[in-house]
Amino acid sequence: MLGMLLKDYYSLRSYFKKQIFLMIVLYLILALALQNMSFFSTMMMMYAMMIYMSAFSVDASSCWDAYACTTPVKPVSVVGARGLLLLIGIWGLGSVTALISMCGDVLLFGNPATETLGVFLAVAVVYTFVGIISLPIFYKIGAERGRMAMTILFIVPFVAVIWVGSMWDTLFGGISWESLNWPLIVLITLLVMVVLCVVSFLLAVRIYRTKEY
Amino acid sequence: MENAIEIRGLNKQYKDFALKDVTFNVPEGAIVGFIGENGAGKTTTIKSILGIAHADGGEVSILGSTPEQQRRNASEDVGVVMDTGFFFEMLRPADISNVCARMYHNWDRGLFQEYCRRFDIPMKKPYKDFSKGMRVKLRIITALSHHPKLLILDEPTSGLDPVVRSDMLDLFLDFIQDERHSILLSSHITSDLEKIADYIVFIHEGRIVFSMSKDDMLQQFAVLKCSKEQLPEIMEVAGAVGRRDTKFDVEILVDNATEVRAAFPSVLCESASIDDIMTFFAKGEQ
Repeated sequence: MLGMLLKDYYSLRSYFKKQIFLMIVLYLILALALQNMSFFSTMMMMYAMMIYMSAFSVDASSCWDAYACTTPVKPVSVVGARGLLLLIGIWGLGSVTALISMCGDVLLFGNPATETLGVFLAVAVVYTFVGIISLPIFYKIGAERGRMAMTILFIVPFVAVIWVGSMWDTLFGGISWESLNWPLIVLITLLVMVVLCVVSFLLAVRIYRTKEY
Repeated sequence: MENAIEIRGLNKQYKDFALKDVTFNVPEGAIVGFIGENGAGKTTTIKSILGIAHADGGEVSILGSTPEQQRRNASEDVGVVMDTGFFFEMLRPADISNVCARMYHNWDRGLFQEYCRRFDIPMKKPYKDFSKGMRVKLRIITALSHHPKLLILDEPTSGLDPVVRSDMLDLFLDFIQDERHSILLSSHITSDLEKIADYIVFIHEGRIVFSMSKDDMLQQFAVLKCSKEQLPEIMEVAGAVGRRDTKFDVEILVDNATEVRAAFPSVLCESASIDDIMTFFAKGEQ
């Protein structure tokens, strides 16, 4: 699996080496201008998603998946490394940038750190859901159509959140946000995410293992 | 002699193409040339051997494993060069070596570097900047640097200049010095196969036309040139498998050259090249 991650790093480094500094500077300036440092970590996590999608495109352009089938690399390693790239990108890059954002929000704008943390967790969870659901889709329908499917998947949770927000009183009249059992909701969300990760991973491995090239 | 690859009655159906009852062997210690025109079924056969295309019927064994086992537990003993499929072109040979060292237990960094030196492949240059010849060399030396016992090469030398092709053929001949090694080499550059192949397998429209040793093939097939008037008499003896009419005479590919030469010593009967055989089968069938 380490070899596959190394391969992804070598494949993508030239594209992202220069870009990442530009992105950091650009999003930091925008976040400062907006006086909202959460913007920085959110955009950097979006950038991590772009790296994830690009990894599939790069593999497709070199017909890597077919080649990998002729080497001793196990399907679990090929798919696992791609899943790991997603998690490292979102939670690794996300954690570092969220920490910077929290420091900035507290020290520069006096915003509460819990708000920045909350935004980071919500965005990371949504991105993880979308990324992990799209993993078998990418292996099934390929990089280009997978990218399209992932874009659609991104729209769904945002539309759902806006719809639930606007329909809150009709759907859950009398229940206020504050009275919800948030620790339980977070726990259930994390459990669902773990189950989804495992199911999605196994499905992606199965698709990759049996796919014809 | 053991067989590195055994194929019996392989069938594979696509919407507009089918492999039908493909049967041949790749013996240990031999180079088998796999010839056929574009779209004849060479790549599909190779993909079926490797398990990346699923056969509809028949039996395939590769170093004692089924294609499914081969794909699931891809053997360290097989080196593959496909016409498509390799590392992304931004990688440098040094990067490829680093990745392969984590993919293959037997990866030999020293050997890879030695090959790169021998074939003037720069270790620190992204291979997108390589010429076509250098790219092919890199693929082949990558396939060789984990000490495989079997090489499966799909059109590795197509589009290369004669000098590079000659380098590659020398490399294959070096590899085959070990009697446990074997090569299945698909190509339509028949002159290469005439130089190095021990056996020739000819596939045409998804069917194996023949599978035999190169020496037997060159002895068995011949191109006979005669006038149109001589033709009826010759055809009584000749096992004609193809015919080509020119303005003044007729050329016939026969598969019983010895008998024809004995029966018509005055008729011009030249040994057929692999090219002649392919062309007559593909174009000149009666």
